[in-house]
Amino acid sequence: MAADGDSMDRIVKIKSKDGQIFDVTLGTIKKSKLIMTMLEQLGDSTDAIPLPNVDGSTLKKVIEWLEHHKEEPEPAEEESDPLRMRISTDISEWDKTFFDVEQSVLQAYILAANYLSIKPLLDIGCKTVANMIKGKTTEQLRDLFGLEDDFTDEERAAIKREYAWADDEENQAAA
Amino acid sequence: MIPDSQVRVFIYKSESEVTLRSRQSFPGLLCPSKGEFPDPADALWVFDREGESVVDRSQLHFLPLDVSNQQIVHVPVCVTNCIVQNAHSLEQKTESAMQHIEEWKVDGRVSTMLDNLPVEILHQIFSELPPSDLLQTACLNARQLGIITGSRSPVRNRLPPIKFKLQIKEYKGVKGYSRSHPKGFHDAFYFVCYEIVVTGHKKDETAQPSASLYIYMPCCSNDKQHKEVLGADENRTDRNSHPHVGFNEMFNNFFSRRNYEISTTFKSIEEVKCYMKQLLTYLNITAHINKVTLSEITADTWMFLEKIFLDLNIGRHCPVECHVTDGQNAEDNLMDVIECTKVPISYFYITSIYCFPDNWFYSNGLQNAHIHFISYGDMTRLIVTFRSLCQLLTGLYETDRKVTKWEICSNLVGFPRHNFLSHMLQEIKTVDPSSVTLTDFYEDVDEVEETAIIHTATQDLLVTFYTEKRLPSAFRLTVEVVK
Repeated sequence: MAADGDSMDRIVKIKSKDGQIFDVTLGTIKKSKLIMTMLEQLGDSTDAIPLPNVDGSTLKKVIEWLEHHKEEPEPAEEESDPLRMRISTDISEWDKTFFDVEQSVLQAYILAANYLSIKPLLDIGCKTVANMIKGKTTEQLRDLFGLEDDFTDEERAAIKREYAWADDEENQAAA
Repeated sequence: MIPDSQVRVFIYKSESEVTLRSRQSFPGLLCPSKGEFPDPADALWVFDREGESVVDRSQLHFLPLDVSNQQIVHVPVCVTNCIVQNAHSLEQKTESAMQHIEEWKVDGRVSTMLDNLPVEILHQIFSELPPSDLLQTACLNARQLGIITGSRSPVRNRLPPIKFKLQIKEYKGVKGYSRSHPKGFHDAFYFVCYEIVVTGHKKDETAQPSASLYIYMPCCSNDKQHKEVLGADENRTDRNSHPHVGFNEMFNNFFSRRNYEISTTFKSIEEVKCYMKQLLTYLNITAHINKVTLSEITADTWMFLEKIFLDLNIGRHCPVECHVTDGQNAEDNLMDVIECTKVPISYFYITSIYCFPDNWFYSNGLQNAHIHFISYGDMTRLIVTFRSLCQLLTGLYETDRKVTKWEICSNLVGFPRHNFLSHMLQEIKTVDPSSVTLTDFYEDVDEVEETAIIHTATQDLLVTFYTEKRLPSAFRLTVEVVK
């Protein structure tokens, strides 16, 4: 949806699942493909756009993120350079602070970004979780994410058969 | 058992402050009994590590373990990285608790972020992970294993990784001299060389091809000479002037199981750092780095390598060995730098005992490290060396570190090993000589002529003497320190 400078100042009302209504400019909310699609369908209607999958506190933070990043250009569709694709360290300090929250809140941000189809926010959320995982052992990850080892003995034996070759005696020494 | 609508949920903590981690539960948080229940008006205060911010109550997750004492549900509390302080209690309405329970319960247990995120988002997260971390994640539980290895998983092919060993060796060369490469790529200047050797193989393959990179950086005494050097080498840099060309080409050949070598020259250390970062990143996302060995590196090199290692988490899932074998580099500030490193070093080899700072054993980087000393010289120096070592190691016993293995090798002609042993035991005052027994032990007759092992009764001290034919006038002491 192409829009000039004036239309970017247009106020859009969005409504969270708990009934909170937020006024945001089109320039702020344009990174959400879901909302842009809904706006196209609604035409000139001034009704608040219902977002039944996002609660008010999360939506408020998402708007804060969009406001901070509204001047940034749309990212390239796909990164072909494998070195750039998987480097998760390129997160700005502002975004690191933004995502420095409890896991339940981080999860809410990621789910909201996914629902609202805000790719840059989703990407940074995923990189944040990936960075939480990196460098940790399985036990540390279980502790971090509160997961239980629910493998059966057979499954555990199969995993050992399949992947033990990567963990030879040298890795044991480092563990 | 799920509580009914009449059940009230109480959380009670009466002991001193406890650090809680994710999904950690302990009896102190359970209401002990109805009669002992404290004032329901009290609050459960949750502070951050600075003891100031009160964590939002919504961050507490409840899981019913039992319904007992009629109206009391015993619950553990899940708090991430928080400290619970004060002996307070919390009364929680059943409805609110039940809402939390229903939101977070999967198959009768509390669910977490990795449980709740959709599979496609998890795939995106996992695609950010290098093979080593992907493997650790796959072993978390059956769901994560299924998501990673499922037929529609975009990351499943990265899981059985290619396995590498990475060796980085630093040395200086002069005109017409290349110590490691017989062809001698560079014959016009004085240079610093990083020789990078990657050896590895794919799963179910035994062939271990190697790829070698020689990264040269001119190193001259003045600007004029430096310019002449760069000019002389200009033609050589053309072929591999773009770093990507270098190692992409190298690994294409590597995966074809062909041994391969390339040489490339950079004009500045900044370019070298950039190349190293790209190379190690490429390795890290391509394969499981199985072991890293650093040889004769300087402090400056270690500092930029350390940053790369930390950024990429290299060293978390594989051992990093550091070898300083000629004593020269050990005399710079490498030891001081290593002492403060955050990269876990599993082995540290060094020649010169005279370089050790007194407290370098206690560095974080050397926790659980195996320390391997090699000292060359006459008997007098050997004794002096050993006395210094004993003083250091005796100090270790006063800490929570334990020397679990000592190994001494020597081929000194006429080496009086029994006298030396006696001398050594006198130095190590914390070891009772009467508890030490002497046993002959032969490892490899080609390399070892005579070996003796001394065990303490508790098996936490191992001293080995042996003679190596291939290393004349060598004396080696291996000390294994485990915290």
